[in-house]
Amino acid sequence: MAKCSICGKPAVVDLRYARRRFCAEHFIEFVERKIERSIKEYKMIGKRDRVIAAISGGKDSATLAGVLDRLRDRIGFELILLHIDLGISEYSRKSREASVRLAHRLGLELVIFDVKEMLGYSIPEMALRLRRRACSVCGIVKRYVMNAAGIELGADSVATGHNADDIGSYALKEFLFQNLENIGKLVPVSESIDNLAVRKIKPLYTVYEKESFLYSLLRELPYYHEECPHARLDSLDFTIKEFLNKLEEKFPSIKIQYVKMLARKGSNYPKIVEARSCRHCGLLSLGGECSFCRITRRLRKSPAGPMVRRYFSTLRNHS
Amino acid sequence: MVKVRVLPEGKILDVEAERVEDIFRELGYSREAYVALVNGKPVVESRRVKDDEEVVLVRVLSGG
Ligand SMILES: [Zn+2]
Ligand SMILES: [Zn+2]
Repeated sequence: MAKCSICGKPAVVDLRYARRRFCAEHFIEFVERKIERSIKEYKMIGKRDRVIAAISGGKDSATLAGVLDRLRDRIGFELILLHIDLGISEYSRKSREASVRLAHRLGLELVIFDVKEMLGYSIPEMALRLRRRACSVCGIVKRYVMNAAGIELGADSVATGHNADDIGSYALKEFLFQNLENIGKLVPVSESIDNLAVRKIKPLYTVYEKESFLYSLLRELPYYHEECPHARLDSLDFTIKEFLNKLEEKFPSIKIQYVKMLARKGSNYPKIVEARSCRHCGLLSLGGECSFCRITRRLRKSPAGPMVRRYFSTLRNHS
Repeated sequence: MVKVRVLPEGKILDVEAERVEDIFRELGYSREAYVALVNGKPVVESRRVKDDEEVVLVRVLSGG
């Protein structure tokens, strides 16, 4: 019988790239140490920082919140969870439920931003009216809400649950289209831009998707393991992930080497230098009006950026 | 024959397998993209499986 490389008890996980096998307890410890090392190496979180973890309700969110929760006393930072309810039918309802249970289990403060309640339209309704793909509207809304929450709640950084497979596949996709400025954004830490953009960190940078799933499962953290109905298995994103996994099967550890090199060299890619402030909401924009204010102005006559900022600043004053 | 349930699709496949690694090989599923659970718990690939055990392969990939 296969044994844990550390304690000799029966192993439940076999990590080929690390040439190690683990029992549940030592696998959990392995993942936590790996994330702690990334946090230190890439200087993600400092003592007395206020960190907002953006959680969707999926496995990566559970791993992110579960690990940060265990590290917050050791490193000494404050942790708040943020969930954005996208209004995508059953999927969003269950994702929200899982997020609430996760926050409850860990005893963490959870801030919920309900897109339909706040903006009058759910993501699919917005997409329909704007004649755009749901995923592109969703991306604009999520990025904006995370940034506004970070700025208004006085966070030092906003953490997202992107794992090594997400990062590696996005970078490869951007490379295929030669959108080199977008590869430069896929580093472990995107520094803040004064009053325009909050600092963003990716603590699961070196965690394989499979490890993230197993961590949440073995710690029995609440998560909702379902695909967004707008995601497609024949999409380019998904196919690139499968391709990277084929490489990994044949060349174990290639994914982790790849993201570690990206972490080191990613800042060499060209950057978009022109950071301006949106004329409506004052946050980051490229052309004088941010994408969020532009789409909400088309939907509701008036841009919703300022209202979203007020929502979060009121929350801060109440806490 | 081992009955293997594949999630999230939910399909059930009959596989001739002595160990978990045989299931991956027979079905051609990636060990990076799927996790094998026996009786609800993750297992290593060298684990033997009996015909009456509940075997599930869960796809871990998300976002696409
Ligand atoms: Zn052990
Ligand atoms: Zn704006």
